[in-house]
Amino acid sequence: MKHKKLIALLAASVMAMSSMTVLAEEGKIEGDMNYVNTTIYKVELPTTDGMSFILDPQGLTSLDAGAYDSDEAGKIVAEGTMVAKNFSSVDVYLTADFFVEDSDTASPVALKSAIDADDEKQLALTITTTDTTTPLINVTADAAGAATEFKMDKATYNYTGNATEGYAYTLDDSTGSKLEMTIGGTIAKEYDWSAYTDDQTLTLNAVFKFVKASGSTDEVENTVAAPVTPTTDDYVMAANDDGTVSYTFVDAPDGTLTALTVDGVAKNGAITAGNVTYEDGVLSFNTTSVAGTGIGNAGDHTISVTIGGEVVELTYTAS
Amino acid sequence: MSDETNFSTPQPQGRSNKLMILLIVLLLVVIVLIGLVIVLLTKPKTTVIEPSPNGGRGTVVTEDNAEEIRKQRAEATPVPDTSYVTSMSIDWHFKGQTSKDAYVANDVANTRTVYFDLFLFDTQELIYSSPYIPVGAEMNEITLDKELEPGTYETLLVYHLVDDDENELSTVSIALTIYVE
Repeated sequence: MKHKKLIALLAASVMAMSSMTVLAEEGKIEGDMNYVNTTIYKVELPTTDGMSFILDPQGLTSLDAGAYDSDEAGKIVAEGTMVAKNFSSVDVYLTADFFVEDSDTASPVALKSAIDADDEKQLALTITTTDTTTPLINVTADAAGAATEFKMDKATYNYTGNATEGYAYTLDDSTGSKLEMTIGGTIAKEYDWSAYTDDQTLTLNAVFKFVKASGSTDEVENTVAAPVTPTTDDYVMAANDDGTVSYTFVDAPDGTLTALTVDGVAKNGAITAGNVTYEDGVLSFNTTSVAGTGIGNAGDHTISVTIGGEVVELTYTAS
Repeated sequence: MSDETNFSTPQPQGRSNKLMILLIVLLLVVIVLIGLVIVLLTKPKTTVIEPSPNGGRGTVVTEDNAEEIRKQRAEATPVPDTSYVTSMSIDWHFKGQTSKDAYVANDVANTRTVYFDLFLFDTQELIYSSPYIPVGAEMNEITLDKELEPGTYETLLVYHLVDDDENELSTVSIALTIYVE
């Protein structure tokens, strides 16, 4: 019943081409991850074009210079390879529910574990991966569809950039679990499949679902604000691996830093503790290291620095 | 004596010449049309990987297309548009018809413009259809076409990949749970 509903839904989706406007192509902020109030999942999935397959009841594709291979008769062969890859910064469980639709009945085809009658319309579909000989999808009993779930490891994101040009949270796309899936299986060799050479079709489709794998520890994208480009106040904030946040002011004057106040409270001890650095016109300090400053709290803040005998006030807004 | 003006009447021979030419032209047109029909009917059927928005199509091998399929497999002709990088949030909460945490982007790794449809699984009702989302663009707020009663709904989100002429190429379907407050 579920797969019959899916078939009807997917057919309706292709037909429902209402008039649409084009969403303006907006530039993204630096980095591959946007800061929103929820985790963003980035998963590569196979499209229906990647699910095309060939049914060869008579093994004709084996004919090459007259060398017929009867073992090729009744085989299902993929046109290509389906790829799933996790680019998210969290582990995910990916569920894939595969089913085959028969346009003649607008219903799912009962998938079999093995062909038991060569003259009936029977399809024993398998989906395998390159990582293992155990099929990903292995129908054990007649079923309208076959689902599988697998865990995909997260990808690695690293902070790149600098205070002058800005920081970015960049994906290392060589990381993250990748799964290559291949369609295979067998069909009834003696059944007359000729009706499916023209208007009648057998089509393979899948519905995917992904959820965060429990125990995945990387929550960075949820707790750390994404780096932003410098504002008119000329500061940049970026998350550090140790959970602190750095604020870097690029427009500080030249000279020796001798005093620091934050929101009117003197924090000179932070200078001597080394939590504040001033070098080549760039003033940097970490929030949790400058204890009690509250500069990480949302809202407007004022930092007063004495550099080279000159008192300069810098303002910024933390979100 | 009255003058009688002799009018020369059109010669039957000239008229029949025009008719002959017309007939020949018509005959030539018919011959060309017949030729076209013959060519079209006897043109070898090539196996073309057609766009498959409804699903990956199963092609049955017959004596008509076996050679073409063998060639394509030997050449390992790549199938275009076989994958799509989804970039989205999966916890969509709606207050009334609008969600502030629904997020969908057409990742820069993709090559096709997309739009998506959102269906209620139980009733198969289309409750939202997005605008076209070019590569690199994103959506941060979604307003459903209808207001739903508070509750949890199982939905099907179908991404449609389209070409530059907005022709449907292929789809990716994702099961999504939405929460209406």
